[in-house]
Amino acid sequence: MQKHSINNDSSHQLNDIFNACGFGIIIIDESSKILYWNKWVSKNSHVSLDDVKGQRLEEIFPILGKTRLLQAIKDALEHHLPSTLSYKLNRQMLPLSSRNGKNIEHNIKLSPLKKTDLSYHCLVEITDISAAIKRENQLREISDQMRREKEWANVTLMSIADAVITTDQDGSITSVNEKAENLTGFSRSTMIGKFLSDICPISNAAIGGSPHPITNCLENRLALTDTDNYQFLTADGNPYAVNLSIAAIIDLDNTLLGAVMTFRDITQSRHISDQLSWQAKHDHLTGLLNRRELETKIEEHRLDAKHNDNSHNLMYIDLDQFKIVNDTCGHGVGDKLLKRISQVFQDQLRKDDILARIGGDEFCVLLPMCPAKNALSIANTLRQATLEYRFVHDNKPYMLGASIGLTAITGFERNAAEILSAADSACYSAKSLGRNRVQVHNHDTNDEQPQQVMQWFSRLQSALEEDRFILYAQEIASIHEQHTAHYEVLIRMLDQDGNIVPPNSFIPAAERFNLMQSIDRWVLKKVCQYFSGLQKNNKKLPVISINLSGISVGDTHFLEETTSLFEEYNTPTSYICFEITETAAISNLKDALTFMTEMKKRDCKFSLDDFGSGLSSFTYLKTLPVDYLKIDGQFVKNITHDLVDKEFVESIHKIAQVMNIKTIAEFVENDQILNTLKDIGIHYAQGYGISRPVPLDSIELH
Amino acid sequence: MNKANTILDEIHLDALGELLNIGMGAATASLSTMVRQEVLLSVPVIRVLNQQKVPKQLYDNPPTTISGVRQSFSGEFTGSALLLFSDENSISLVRAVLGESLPLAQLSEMEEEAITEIGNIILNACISSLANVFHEHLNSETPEYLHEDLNELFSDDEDDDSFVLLLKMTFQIAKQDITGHVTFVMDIESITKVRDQINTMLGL
Repeated sequence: MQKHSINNDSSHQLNDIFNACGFGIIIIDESSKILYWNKWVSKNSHVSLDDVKGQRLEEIFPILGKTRLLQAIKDALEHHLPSTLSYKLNRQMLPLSSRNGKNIEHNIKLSPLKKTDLSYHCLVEITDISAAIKRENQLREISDQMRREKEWANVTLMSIADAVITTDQDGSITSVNEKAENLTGFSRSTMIGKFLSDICPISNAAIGGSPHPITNCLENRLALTDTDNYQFLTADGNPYAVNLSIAAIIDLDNTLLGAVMTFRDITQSRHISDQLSWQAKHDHLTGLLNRRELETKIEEHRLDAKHNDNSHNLMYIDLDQFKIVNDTCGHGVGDKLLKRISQVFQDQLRKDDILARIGGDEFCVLLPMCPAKNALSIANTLRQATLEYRFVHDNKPYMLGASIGLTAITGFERNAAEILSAADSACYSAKSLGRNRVQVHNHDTNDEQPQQVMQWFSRLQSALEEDRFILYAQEIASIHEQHTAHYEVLIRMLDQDGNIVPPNSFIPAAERFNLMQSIDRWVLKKVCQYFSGLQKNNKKLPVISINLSGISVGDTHFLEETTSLFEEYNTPTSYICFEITETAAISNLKDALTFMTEMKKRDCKFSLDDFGSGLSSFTYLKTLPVDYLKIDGQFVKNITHDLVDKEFVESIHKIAQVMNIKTIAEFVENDQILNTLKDIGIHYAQGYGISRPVPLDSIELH
Repeated sequence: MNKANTILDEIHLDALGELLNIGMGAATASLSTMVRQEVLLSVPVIRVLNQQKVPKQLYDNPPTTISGVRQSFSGEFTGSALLLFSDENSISLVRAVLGESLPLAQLSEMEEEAITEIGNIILNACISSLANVFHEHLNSETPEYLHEDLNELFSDDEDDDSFVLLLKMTFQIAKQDITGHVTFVMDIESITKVRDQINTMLGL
């Protein structure tokens, strides 16, 4: 019945429809025989329906014995169950190929077709899925390629030593590498989707108010390369300096896709460079500014003075007595002293004052916004603080002094060096004038001063060459009894016009330019010649005190020269008294002792000069074979009204007595002083009150 | 739940479980051949319950979307049989069956077909075992692949009849740790018919 139904009109139409279908249709009858297949099947199996009708499918296609298709047909016919046979699980079930010989990949669907209550046919639908397979393969290939590329990119990203963060066009993070996790302190999962500007916030300390580089990059498509200007905050809020590069990711059609930022932590290297720059600007011992940095500051203030009319001052400090500590206690102790004294200075200064160490024992203080009067008072405070400070080493206290030069920064100077040099020359004057004092630079003689110092070298040299020095003598009078005449010879320089130049003008220069030994030699030779002259004329011989510098005392060569001079002039050496300062003796104690011992053999006398101004150490006194102690004039000149000074002089005298050393007082300016000294028991007096220095040749000897 | 329990009592559930177990046994045998691995079958749990409760019954943490195969049937009973996997498991299953080591993020057309076939095998086994035993004809439609929102899948417009004969049967492809569930969704009328058939079969 049903077979026949395909033959009627409507069946013809159905047949046409089936044949027009773009997929295969096979109808299997209840006895598993082929009832029908459409044109699509004939065309692609290359077998016509007429040749197969009534046969079993497996008879036409023996290959089917190995597939699930036959079972599926059975399920449909017997159990009325539909089946799907997929290409993936059942490759090439039917041997179908297109005209060009290409296999037709296919899926098969089977449905039971109810014929009667008890019998079912089976509808087999065959779908060409070649195109879908091709699509899938392409998709798979593309996806594999993307996966590989992503993997590649990931591995690259992970192995990059820099942190890498990518964002979308809004600045939200799309990917990060491990380094970025380490650096920011955020985990990948936390960062993804957050704004880069929130994950790497700019630390305010770095650049206040400047926009995040990502903002600039996305808004203006500006790339930054290798910039060190940013500092971010970690998850914990710690700042870290970064070197960063950032670039926009732009599509082929110029669409902004996002940005990529690479950065690395340069906190460490910045720290090192900060340190280097600190070191370049500071004195490593005291931590104060160094000379170069001070000059920079001075220049800044010079310009400020020039343009804004503000008043700034510069102080130049030279430590008196530092050399003694350094030479006797060692450099380590000297360094310690410098550190301590910088603190002493610092304690006296205002917050904005700039303290710098510009040389061995030379300091400078820049006093910004400070009128000259205040500057002078600050300078005096510093001087006083230095004087009061006791540096203790090995249980011995050391006293220090400060010679301070002060100059105003007017803005009219050419440069910082000129200001520094003005302060230096004022300091030099302070030293010349007896140390432990403040000397204000005189701007009226502005142009001369620095050159003046420099000119001293040539002036001294030519004076030595041209013998333009003369000796003066000042009497050292016995207070209690008549005695052998005793004079201290004092050197004076004659300038080219024959004017007398006092020693405090050129001795510091001679010290500075290492000419002291030449001067000492000149004086000694003159004295020897003087004695020689007296002896020829059978004159009575006075005792002559000669000042010797520390340099000379400590130099063995000078000892030889002295010896040969004595021999050459047949000098009555018992009339020679060498005056050396305590400082000079102690700075080079060993050589000084050698000199003294040698001279003592010739019956020379020794006088310790300026006693009381320096270390005033009686310990040293015991080791030095001195005959006279010359008490520093500073204590003598006020002795009539300053009880402390008087007490001091008394105690020196007492101890000297015990040690069998005679005492000499300087600066005896009047009779009152003389009387006081007399009461104390001081042996000798020297000063204007006794007699003024006169040319050596003019002293009258009886 | 009470209503459901009045339809099927313990004895019906046991019988049904036994029947389906036989069908699933055959199905897992085919599946085992396909994946060339042992497939473990859990003891079936049969419940009749409100549709909406199915997701919670199937998963401790129900996934949002679910993959699977649906095969509807009609005849003496009307309903549909479902084989369900989590999305991840559907991919793993394809991987296991096809031996593909690098699956795509989502199933391709071909892979959906393959899953459909697997579902077809399993669901046919279950449906035919029901039909066989009850000597009833069930007209089964061709299987369809589904990838849907889990909650939508089990939400019913007709609220009072929305009961499900849940056959929770878990099969595991041991090495892959793939779990699938089979459920039957039938209306009250069909479930009642199932009960009557069981009664007949057991001579109750």
